[in-house]
Amino acid sequence: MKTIYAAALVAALNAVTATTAQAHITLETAEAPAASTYKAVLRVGHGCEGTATRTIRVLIPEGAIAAKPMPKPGWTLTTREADYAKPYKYFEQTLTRGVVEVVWSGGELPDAWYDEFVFRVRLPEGEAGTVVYFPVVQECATGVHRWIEIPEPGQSAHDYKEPAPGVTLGAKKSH
Amino acid sequence: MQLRFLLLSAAAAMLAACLVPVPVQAHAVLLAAEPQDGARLDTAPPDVRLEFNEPVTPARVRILDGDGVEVAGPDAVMAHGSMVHVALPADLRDGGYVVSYRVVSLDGHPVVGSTVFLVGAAGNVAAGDVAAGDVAAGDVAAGNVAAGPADRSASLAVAGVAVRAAFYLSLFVAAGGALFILLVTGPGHPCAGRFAPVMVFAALAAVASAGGRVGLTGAELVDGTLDGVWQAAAWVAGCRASVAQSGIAAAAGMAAIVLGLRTLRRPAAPVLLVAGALAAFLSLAASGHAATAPPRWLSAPLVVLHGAAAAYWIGAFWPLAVVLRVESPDAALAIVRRFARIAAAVVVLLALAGSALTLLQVGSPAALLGTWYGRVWLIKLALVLALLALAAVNRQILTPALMRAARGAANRLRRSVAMEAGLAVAIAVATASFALEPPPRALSQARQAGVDNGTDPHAGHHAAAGAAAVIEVLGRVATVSIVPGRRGANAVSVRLTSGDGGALATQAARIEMALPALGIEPITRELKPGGDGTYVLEAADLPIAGNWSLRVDVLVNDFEKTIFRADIPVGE
Repeated sequence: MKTIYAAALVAALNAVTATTAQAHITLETAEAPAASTYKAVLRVGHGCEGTATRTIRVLIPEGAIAAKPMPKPGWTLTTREADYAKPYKYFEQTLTRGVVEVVWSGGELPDAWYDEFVFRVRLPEGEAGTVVYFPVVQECATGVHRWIEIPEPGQSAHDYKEPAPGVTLGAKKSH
Repeated sequence: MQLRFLLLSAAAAMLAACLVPVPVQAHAVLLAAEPQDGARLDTAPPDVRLEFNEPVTPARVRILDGDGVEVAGPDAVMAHGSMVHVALPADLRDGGYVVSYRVVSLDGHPVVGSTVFLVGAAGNVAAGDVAAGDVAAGDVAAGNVAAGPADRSASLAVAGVAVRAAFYLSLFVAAGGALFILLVTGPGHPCAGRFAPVMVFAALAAVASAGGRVGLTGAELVDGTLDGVWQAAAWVAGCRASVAQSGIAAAAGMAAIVLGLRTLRRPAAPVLLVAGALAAFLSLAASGHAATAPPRWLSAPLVVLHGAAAAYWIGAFWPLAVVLRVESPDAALAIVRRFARIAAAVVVLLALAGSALTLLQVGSPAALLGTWYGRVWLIKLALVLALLALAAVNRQILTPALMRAARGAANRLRRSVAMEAGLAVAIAVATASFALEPPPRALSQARQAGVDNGTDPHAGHHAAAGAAAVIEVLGRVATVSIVPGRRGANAVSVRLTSGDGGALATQAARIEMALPALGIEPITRELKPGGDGTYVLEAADLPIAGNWSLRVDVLVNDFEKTIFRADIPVGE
């Protein structure tokens, strides 16, 4: 009996997570400790109004450092570097400059297919509960989707049509 | 044992998850609407169709007319797959309609929006008549109604010009007569008393036409037609506009002048006359495009000077006529010459102040031919030159004739003065006609100062004539203005600056307009760049009056968007 109940509970949980609306570009892992190394997985489930995605550009926000993108076969990976607003301590180094924009271009991801775009980044320091947003520009065969809406105070990403993918910071873990 | 149970339950769970149907992972998108969004139709359509890119469930689809009344009930809404169909009643009257939809896509996410369409000619203002940015926010604050010609009935416009012209003329006759008494004859002069009857009449006429201005301005704010004058709301609205302050100053000035005229022999007379004339000229600076042109510290005094100079000239016609009729030629000559000496300097002042005001109002010489304001200005200039020519004739020919005591010289001079008076009436009408259209400087949207719709106590009434709001988000400032701010076609303009007033580089802007009180979902429109940091929407059809919620999404750069929100009332 207990196993059946457990099975039903797990099934229900699975079902709930499976029905999360994924028309938006979102990050697979929604929460991570502050100042931790985070594997960001951008889930792209749709093109623009039915046309294929050709370019994904993501902006690394201020405070997120040491960004390293994962190359994708069939896509051209380029990065843009710029000075950080202030120096950051990263292990034994002090970083003043790094990758601020990652671009995967030249691909063709049809609307009917799904793909993930991955990069690794050290999340900023911050209070638990703060959301760090990674604005994404999705360029397709026809049209552009800008997932760049940052919620105004008092609102959450659910209130917007094209919210920026975000990760909520948790308590910092001491190693 | 426990491990086996765990493995079994995990397998069962995964199996169960696979059996749960995974919904299509998309939001629905409106592909097409019939009638098209913003369409202007000759006859009412039989139905409304909304086509989406996937099957949807209508949650709330309504069609509302210009009064906010639903014309198609929920029974009329049917969904066939990805098409939502709403049957319309057969007897739809002319006007604007809003189709507000809230449908649910397969993934459970609601998709909302509104489209508009117009039926028939009524309620349609041709987009070209209301050019975006016609009224800079500051003009709205000053109570200047500078709506496009189609938004004001012709009778109201004509009445406005007539009343304004009457105000200027009567004000100048009274105040100018006071100046004549003060500067040319002196209060103790026997003739001064003879000027009084006409001047008192002019003073009363000035007060009456000032009141008329209040009523007509209110009618324009509230109704747009001449019949609006009969509504109490129009007078209340007019009293809150700057014309009311102008009228009060003018009335005070006229009262002082009348009092001064009655006590000419007393020492108080000059003081009263000076104070009255000053109040009258200051009333000209209280309202009007000319006096509110930026920078105000320059334009207002220029208007006062220009008005005082014009009053001196125009207000002298009657006293001169009296003097020429009543006095002996020698005495008349002395007075005329004294008048002419002062007039020489006054004309220079008139021309200088007028030129400076023109520079402030008219951006470039091209605007003189291209805009209504410029063309009226050219006509006024021609009339003023004619008047100057006539005055020159007086000075060069007729006055010397009077000096020689030639026969009939006084009569000829009086006739000439009468002709000058006629030209002056024409000039007053031309000046009054300026206000029918915004000056070129307002059209070029150079205005920086904004109006905060929320805190401006006049907001409620100004809103009906064009409303503006200033919103600041993250150090960026957006000035959103809607003209004329009445239901029907409106022109929306959004001016973007950085917090310190400097330019803000932006890529694109989009506006969503919703009416939450009636549950009308947002109408979405792209804004076009209008140059100089502004974005415009030439014809935004807002068929229903009410408090519209605007949301302007400004794309600052590829990755950054600023959202400005404002509530702007749209009047009837």
